[in-house]
Amino acid sequence: MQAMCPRKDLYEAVQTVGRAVSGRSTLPILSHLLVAPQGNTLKLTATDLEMWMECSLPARIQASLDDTGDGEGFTAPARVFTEMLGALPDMDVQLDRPEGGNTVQVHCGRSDYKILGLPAEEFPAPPDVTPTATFTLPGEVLRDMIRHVLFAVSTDETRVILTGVLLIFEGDSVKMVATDTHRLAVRTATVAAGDGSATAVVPARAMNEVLRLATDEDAVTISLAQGQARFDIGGTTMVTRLIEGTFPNYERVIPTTHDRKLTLETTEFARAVRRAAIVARDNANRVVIETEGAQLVLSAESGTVGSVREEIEVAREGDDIQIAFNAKYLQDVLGVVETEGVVLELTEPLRPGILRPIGDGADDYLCVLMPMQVI
Amino acid sequence: MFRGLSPRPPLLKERGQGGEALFDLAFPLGYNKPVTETLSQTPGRAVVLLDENTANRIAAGEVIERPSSVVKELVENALDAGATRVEVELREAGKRGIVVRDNGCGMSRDDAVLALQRHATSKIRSADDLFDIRTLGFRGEALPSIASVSDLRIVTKRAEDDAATEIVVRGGDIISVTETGAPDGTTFVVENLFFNTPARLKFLKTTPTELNHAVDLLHRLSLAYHRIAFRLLHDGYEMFTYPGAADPLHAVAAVWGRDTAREMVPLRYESPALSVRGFVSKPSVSKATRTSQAMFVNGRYVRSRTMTHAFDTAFKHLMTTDRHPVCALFLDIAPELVDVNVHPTKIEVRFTRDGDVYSAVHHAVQDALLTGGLVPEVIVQPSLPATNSRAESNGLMPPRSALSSYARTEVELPEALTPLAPSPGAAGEGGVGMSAPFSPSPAGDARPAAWEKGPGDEGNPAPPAGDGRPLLGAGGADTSYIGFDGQRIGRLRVLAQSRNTYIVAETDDALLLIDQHIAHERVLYEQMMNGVTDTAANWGVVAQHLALPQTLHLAPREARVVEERREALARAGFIVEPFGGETFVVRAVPAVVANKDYLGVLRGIIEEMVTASVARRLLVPHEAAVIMASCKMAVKKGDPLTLEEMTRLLTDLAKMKNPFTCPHGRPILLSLPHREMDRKFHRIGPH
Repeated sequence: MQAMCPRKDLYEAVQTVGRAVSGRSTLPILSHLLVAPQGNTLKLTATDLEMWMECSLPARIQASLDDTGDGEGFTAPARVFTEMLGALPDMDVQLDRPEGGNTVQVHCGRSDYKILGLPAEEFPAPPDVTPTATFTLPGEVLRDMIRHVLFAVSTDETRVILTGVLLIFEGDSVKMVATDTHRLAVRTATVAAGDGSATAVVPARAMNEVLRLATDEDAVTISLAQGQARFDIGGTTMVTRLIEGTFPNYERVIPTTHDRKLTLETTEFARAVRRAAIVARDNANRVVIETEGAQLVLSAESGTVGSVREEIEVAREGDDIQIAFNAKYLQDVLGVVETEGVVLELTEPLRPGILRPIGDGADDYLCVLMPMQVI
Repeated sequence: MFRGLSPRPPLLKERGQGGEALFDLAFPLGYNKPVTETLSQTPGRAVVLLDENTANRIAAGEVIERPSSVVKELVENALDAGATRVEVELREAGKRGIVVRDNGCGMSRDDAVLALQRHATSKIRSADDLFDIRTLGFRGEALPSIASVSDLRIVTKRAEDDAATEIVVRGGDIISVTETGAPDGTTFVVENLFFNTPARLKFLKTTPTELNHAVDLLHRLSLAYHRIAFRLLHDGYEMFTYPGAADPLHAVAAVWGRDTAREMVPLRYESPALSVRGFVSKPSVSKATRTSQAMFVNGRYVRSRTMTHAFDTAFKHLMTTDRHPVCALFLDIAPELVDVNVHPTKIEVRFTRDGDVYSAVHHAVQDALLTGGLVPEVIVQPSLPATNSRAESNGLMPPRSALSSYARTEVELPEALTPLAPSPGAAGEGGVGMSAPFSPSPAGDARPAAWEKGPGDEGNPAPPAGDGRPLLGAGGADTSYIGFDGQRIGRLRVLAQSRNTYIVAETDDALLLIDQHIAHERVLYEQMMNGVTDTAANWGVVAQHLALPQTLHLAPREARVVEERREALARAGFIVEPFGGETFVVRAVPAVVANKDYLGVLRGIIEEMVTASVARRLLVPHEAAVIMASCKMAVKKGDPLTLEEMTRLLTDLAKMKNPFTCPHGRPILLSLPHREMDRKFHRIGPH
């Protein structure tokens, strides 16, 4: 096999799939990339057995006589291969395997490399995805959805199910839910094209990769299957294992009524929280929110730093209230809301609050925040 | 079953009449049975001799204070009877019923009946092991006392008898004595405790409190009698079980948990008149209260100011204030040197020679800490024998005289002590600590051998100073070979950094190797803990409520503990609600652990509460979080430090309450005393 393609394209593709390379593994093959010809393209694959990443790029392929057929390829250690491509001049790169075997020759300009790989047959094949549901979302919408929930994913490995994002596809609507038991974010969107219905818990890491890979212009096709999910984004395909288990009944967490409603300007609120958080950081991030007429007072105090008091305008429905939240949780959600205003729906100081955007897509998103209490 | 044996109402009436006579006489004598109406009805009766039942009830007032006192007396009986297995069953913490079952030697029918009479057995049958006053100091009062204030049933059988004897007693009167079938040993069933002393009944505490008394009691007994199997059941739940083991450490593990037991260092000190043995925890393990300190004199649990103070002084440099190490300390002393009859329940003792006991305990603990891995091994060897630690304190004197005559030592001593004397810490230790609360006994001939060689003793004409001196010297020795206390830090010089990991420094006495990460960790930890306690005091614990309440499935024993301590858990930030059976719902968790495995933390706390029901503190989340944070913030192994940075770190470290171990319990510094170095290079000693 002989293949030729621009260095820049190959470098980008290698970097893309490189995200799936296993950092530390007892299986040496997992630190390698698989490079295989496919028609007029080169297909690059990397995996850590949790996630598979495939990327194709156009190339001039010349099959040599001793090639056994289509799909035959070679492997190369991902780190070396990436570093090498990063250092080569911006010219066409020629990949060659004249003697077969596991060594690949890389020729670019006046540089020649011989890189030692492992047998390509050892490379684990991605699992077959037989989807029970497939749907397509504009990249812009998908990215937005992921951003809206990803911050609420738990990092606590003792409750694995919460380290993923719940994905529900039914009819023409898709929903993403994430919670770390202290807050819960739910985002809904309408799907242009799709069929079937399915529920899956996608690892946060895979969601992060989708967020990184997809551009606003891409159309992303998501296929959900038993145990796996596939994301087709432009020329890149990502297959990820799903987290098994039952996601908690999130609907029960969302309060259905509220007696107080605070309407706030998003930017102003976010800035006030950010300023209060500087002091709150030292006292478990606790920020107290208190209504005083048309003002909302944010305050925080700490034994080692001091105290802070912030006032912002608020439009209030219902009685005065005082409630404490984790400043970081407020910052997280205020950081992803893009509307000009938000409402905070509250009941009592020890009952959950809901933060929603106002205006466009107001019904598509909510974030439940649990209060803090001083004992 | 025995209720049918006799009609109860007339009996009660009879008792009531007896009581009237008792009260108007007993009250002026100070036995507060305030039945005012009987007092007013009988203004001027003649003095009469109390009948036996009355006398027993008076005794009961002293000995039988609460259900756990009954347990104590009966279990001690069982132990005296040579039992290897003692089982206690309580209903409502003993308020409704107490059963104590043993497999001891049992009693003959005659003995059993006799045992119910006051003073009978202890005097007449002194050959009988059961009531030998030398065993647990039983005065023959407890059994009649218990009998006089409850419904008591005794089933006892000796191995050589064919049948068991069953005796039913109510309010002190023997109702029936019958033969019955039973295994060898004795079973006491006490019901309706204090039925005829309503005042006492009224002042009983809540069931959990009374139960804690009983659990604490069995914990202490199993520590003292580690070969005996103990089991405590409460309303069908197993509260404590200990199978008995030859190694006393197993008892420590059963009482305070295996993790604590792992951190215990054995201690041992022998002198002709007394010996100290037991276990003490390394400074890394400590409790907020003294409840995890158990001290025993000749196998009897006591509270002794002398012993406690000696213990504390030995720990003074190592423990943060208000923290108490765990210990089980057994003092064996010749019976004639201790008076146990100070207090009716014998909780207090008096020593004929307080000073001896003090120094024995102090030395035992100090030696244990030095040999037990707290201060690393380089310096262990010279400090092992008590005599050597004396020589060690003279690290400042010319090398060659160190091992020579004590006359020489005497001359050098004042010099060696000068830097310590004016310091408040040393003065508190030597002066106040010794002479004030514990008025020194006249110079003791029964004094431990090590002391006799002490220079202060011989040289000082005044006995009080003689007593104070050795201790001061001992304190000096302690700090000098660690070479690191408030007084000496000024002369600590940083020499270099090794492998970007260890600080090399020297003091007047020793070369020190200090782990920079651990040292910094300790500094940050103490600084933050101070901050945290301030915060906690001012604003309380911040709890983060959970959107998804977590369920917790517990073992029955754990569930009971959680049920009882829900308030305490809440104060620590864990809001837990019962959810039926042994399931609980966690509604909120401390904010400091909200992003960690908070259920794991909670489980750890619950486990601790179950295994160590005596440890009533719940600071764990804070502390765990602070330890984690300080570890993350500290300089790491491999970080190069400038001389200024290192000096600052050591200056900070010297201010710490415990500059010897990191919060995880790892040692901070290794010390190579100059003396030791000189010896290794053959500059002193035999060559």
